[in-house]
Amino acid sequence: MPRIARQSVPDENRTGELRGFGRYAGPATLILSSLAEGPKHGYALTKDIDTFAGVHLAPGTLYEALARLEGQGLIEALESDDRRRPYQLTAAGATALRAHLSAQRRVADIGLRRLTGSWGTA
Amino acid sequence: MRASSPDPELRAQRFLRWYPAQWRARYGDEFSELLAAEIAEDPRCLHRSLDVAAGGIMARFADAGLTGVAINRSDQPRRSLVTFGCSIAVYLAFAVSIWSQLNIARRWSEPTTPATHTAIVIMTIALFSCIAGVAVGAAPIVWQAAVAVFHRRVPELRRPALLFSAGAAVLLAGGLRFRGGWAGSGTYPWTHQATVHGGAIAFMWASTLAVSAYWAHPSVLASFPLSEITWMIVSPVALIATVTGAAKIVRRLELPTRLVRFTNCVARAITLALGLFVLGTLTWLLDGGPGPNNLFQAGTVDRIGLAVMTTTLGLATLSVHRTATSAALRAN
Repeated sequence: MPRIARQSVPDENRTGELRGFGRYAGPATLILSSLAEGPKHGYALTKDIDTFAGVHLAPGTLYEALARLEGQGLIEALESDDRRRPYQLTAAGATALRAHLSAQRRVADIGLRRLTGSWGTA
Repeated sequence: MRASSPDPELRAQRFLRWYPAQWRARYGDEFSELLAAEIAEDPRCLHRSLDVAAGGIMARFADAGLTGVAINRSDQPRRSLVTFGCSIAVYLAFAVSIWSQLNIARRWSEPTTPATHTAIVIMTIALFSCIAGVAVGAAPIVWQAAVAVFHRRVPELRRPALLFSAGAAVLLAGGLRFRGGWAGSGTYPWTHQATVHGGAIAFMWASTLAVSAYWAHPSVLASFPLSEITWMIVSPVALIATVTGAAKIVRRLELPTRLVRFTNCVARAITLALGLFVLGTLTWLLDGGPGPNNLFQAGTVDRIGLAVMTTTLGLATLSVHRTATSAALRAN
């Protein structure tokens, strides 16, 4: 299973509302996408991202991205009696994720169209 | 037989030491919970260990107001300011040491190469611009702290104020006591050979006596008077006490946004002066012209000094940039 390491995270997400996240834009997108379904704590986040993206976010990378997202007001921590505190997407986070994914989709659509035009369909 | 791995919870707690206290207070419980679960699933994972270590270092940089997002965002400008102060304190220890030794060399002879002569002039202008900048930038903070201590508004300022005062007093007393400790330094004015009063040069030299190549030569060091060796050990401790006291004061003092903005503007000017000093030092090191009797010969300690000054200048510049762009300052 591929892992997202600090050095190997491509800084591909320069568009949309995740500017300033630099190499954490990849993990940030995965976390926001996971939380779009509903609140989750750290362990549930890593398992969900494993399942839907096929990447394992290591704990240091996960919490650095969580701290940045929380600092920017894109996610918020919920009260919990448990040691595992769940996080949920904020309205600003939902807007940022929508803008970011739309920008990514435009890039993907253009890339696929050009690929089809030059190389045909597989 | 292979020894069994320690308890995952215990290992997770050990990993948590990479992170600063404020981060641990906010995320420590949930982070160690996740880490313990991962350790239980996969006890040995080098990638995870490196990732946690790198995350901890980044969190410490964020805690120092250098990168990322601080846990308490309103606190970020003050943390950046503290990092700036600590960086320039280390920078100045090396800068003052190099500059004073070059100027003491001029007691006997002028440098023979124009490059070394120009370098000393550049370094003198840069160093005194920096010292003036520190005085201008620190004065309003010192005033705020003095008023708060005098009116007992912030009781937790008393200990750091004492620490700062004690450290500064030791540095001042030691600098005055040992300024005549090196043959030729004394308290001569040297007005005909130097642009700065000899007494000031000798004081600055004595204050930074610990920045010395003699640490690498214990047999030579052993021939020094005991009082001088003691001072070489005590003076860095006094400097650390002074800087620690000042840092704690700035962290605990409520600073108005306008004052932080003003201090940061002065700090930006100081970084320019520090950059100029690095340029002067580099000119001298590249020239390498030892001059008469090798008086201006650069040594390993000077090259180490340049490396330290360049690093601390980088940290100071980064902290000034972080303060200027911090959301806490822009919001007000």
